[in-house]
Amino acid sequence: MKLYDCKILLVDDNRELLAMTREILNRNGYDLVVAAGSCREARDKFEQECPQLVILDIMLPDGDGFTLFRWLRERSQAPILFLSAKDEDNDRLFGLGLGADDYITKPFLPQELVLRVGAILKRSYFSGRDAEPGELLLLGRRRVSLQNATVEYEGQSVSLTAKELLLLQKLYRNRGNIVTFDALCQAVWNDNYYGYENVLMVHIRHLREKIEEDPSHPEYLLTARGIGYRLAAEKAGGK
Amino acid sequence: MRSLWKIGSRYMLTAVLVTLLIICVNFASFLYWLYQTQKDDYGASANFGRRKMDEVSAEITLEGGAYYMSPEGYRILEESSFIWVMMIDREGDVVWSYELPGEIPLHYELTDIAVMSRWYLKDYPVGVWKNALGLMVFGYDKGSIARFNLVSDLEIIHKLPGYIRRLFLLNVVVLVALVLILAWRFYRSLRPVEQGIMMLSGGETVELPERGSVKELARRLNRTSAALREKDEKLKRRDDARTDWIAGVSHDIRTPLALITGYSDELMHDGRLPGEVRWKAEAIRQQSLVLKELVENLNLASKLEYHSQPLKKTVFSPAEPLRECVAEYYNQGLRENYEICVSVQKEAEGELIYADRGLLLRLFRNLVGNSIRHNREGCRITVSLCRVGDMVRYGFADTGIGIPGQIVEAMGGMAEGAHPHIMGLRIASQIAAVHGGMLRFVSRECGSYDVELELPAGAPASER
Repeated sequence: MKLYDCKILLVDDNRELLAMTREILNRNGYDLVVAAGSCREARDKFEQECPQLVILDIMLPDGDGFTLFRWLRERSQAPILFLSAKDEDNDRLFGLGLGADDYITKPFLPQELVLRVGAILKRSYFSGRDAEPGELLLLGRRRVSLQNATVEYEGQSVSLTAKELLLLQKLYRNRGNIVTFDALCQAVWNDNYYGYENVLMVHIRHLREKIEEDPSHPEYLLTARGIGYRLAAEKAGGK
Repeated sequence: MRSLWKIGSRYMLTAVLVTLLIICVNFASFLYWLYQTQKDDYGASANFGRRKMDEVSAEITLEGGAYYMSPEGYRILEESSFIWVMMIDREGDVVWSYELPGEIPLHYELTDIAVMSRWYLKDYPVGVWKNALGLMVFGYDKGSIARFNLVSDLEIIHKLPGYIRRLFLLNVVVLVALVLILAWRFYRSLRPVEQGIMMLSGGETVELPERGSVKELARRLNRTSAALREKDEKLKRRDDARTDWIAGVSHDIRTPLALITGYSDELMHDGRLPGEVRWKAEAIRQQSLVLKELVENLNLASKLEYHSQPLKKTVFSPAEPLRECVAEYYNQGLRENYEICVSVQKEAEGELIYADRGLLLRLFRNLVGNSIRHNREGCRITVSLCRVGDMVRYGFADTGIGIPGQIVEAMGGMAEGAHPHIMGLRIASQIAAVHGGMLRFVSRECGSYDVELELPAGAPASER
């Protein structure tokens, strides 16, 4: 099964919104979209179609989305994404606490919905098939194996320390984005940034010495002054 | 408790002062009375008009075997309270008299003299005065004077000052004890009233027992509490209705807004459409996102205003959400003509605060977002953090136009009418207030303003 062959069940009481969401998903390659306007209809469609993903509204004419969620979960482990006009923190936390895979509030940007649907499907059904993206990282002429914690360059291999590996993993998971000092310290030392200012700087310098051509003028591990660090986004053609 | 102790001590002080005042008044009256009795022309009390007896006795003379009273003597006698006078010679015979009643004998034995000098003569109170010629006897009106003979053991007289001192001490002790007991009773009766007032000021419901000396006070407090509770309930019902209405509108508007945003986004990215149509679709999409933000702001502002926004307070470093907010702006694709600089004082880096992290992030987004929205040509935004006394201070400044004076006036409630563009700042101010902090506008030379936010530093020990 390919990503775009996944069947998606849309549940919302607003017919226009159902039509629009279906159109957005169709236009982005998800052709198998089934729509339901009530809990009863959703239960029937779910049993008939066995979808790979359910996008669920909370306020439905004959019940609420949370109850429907529990019913669905009893029958299937298919990922479920809440798409609701309820923007209260409590609702969001309750939905995620039930085990939902994501929670999007209306109004939403179509692209955001498509990206989140794609991410959930990849995570749920395709994570074992492709090579783990985190395993191999190509930075210029250096090949970084996050699995083996090694950097290979011109036939030589240099090991990353445990802390350097944790740092690189955190940066890699957010590649292209700035990761704050706080988030890095939390990931590596499970502590606040205060007291680790110099330690973090030293580890970053050591990491640069291993992954950069010229550590004084880094191309990949970039500093966002006063905020954090960023692993430069993938260039076209690079892994 | 302290106020009640104050009341008790004042009560004691007043009681002591009243007692002292009564003693002083009594003492002064006694002195006045004593003075009056000592005056020469004062009746016959106290010293039996000793001075007058002395003066009259000095005016009598013996000339040629006969006794004469001088005119001055008669004048004194007429002005005095004596109704009769006689003079007894050494043999006991009356040798001179003045207005002597017939019932008074004219001869006296030693025993008569002894009895008369201590008691009465024919029921007349009499005063006896010795002079060179004999014994002068001054008679007062019957029933005008009471005479007593006080006989006392000398030892008792010697001990009298000690008795008086002990008596005084006993009086003081009894007085203080009485005052203390009464003050304690007063304090005890006031204690529930004090607790009631404290509860009332803390917004709690009061139901005091209506008995004792403060019965009426307790009843009134109970009535006030009931009235306040009723008023609070009414206000809460009104506030809840308003918050629910706004939350309902905010909820209901989201689905149509989702359709507007979704379709305009689709049209905007549809390459088959002419550029002008796509540009219009982009404008619709942009405005629908503005509407979304407005709805969110309105909802949050209403909840903060009516205290229905639960605070999820945790302990964290004040710099952390600041950096996260700035990183978010960069990660979402901040245009190149903007730059956000972060400056965190070392001392503030080690600080902790106890706050709702989500709300604080929202506040930072509002303030940084304001600088971006209102400076379309780009600007440099500086966000800073430092510690000032017991507070942490965040600074938000930009090289753009800053916050106009009208907005600051509208925020302070000084401008007439509602200003349409202060929702974000109002929310920021409300978020600061619910954390016990404040939002301040710092004037620039050009007349516009930058923003500073102060929040209490530190975290409760139980939360660390």
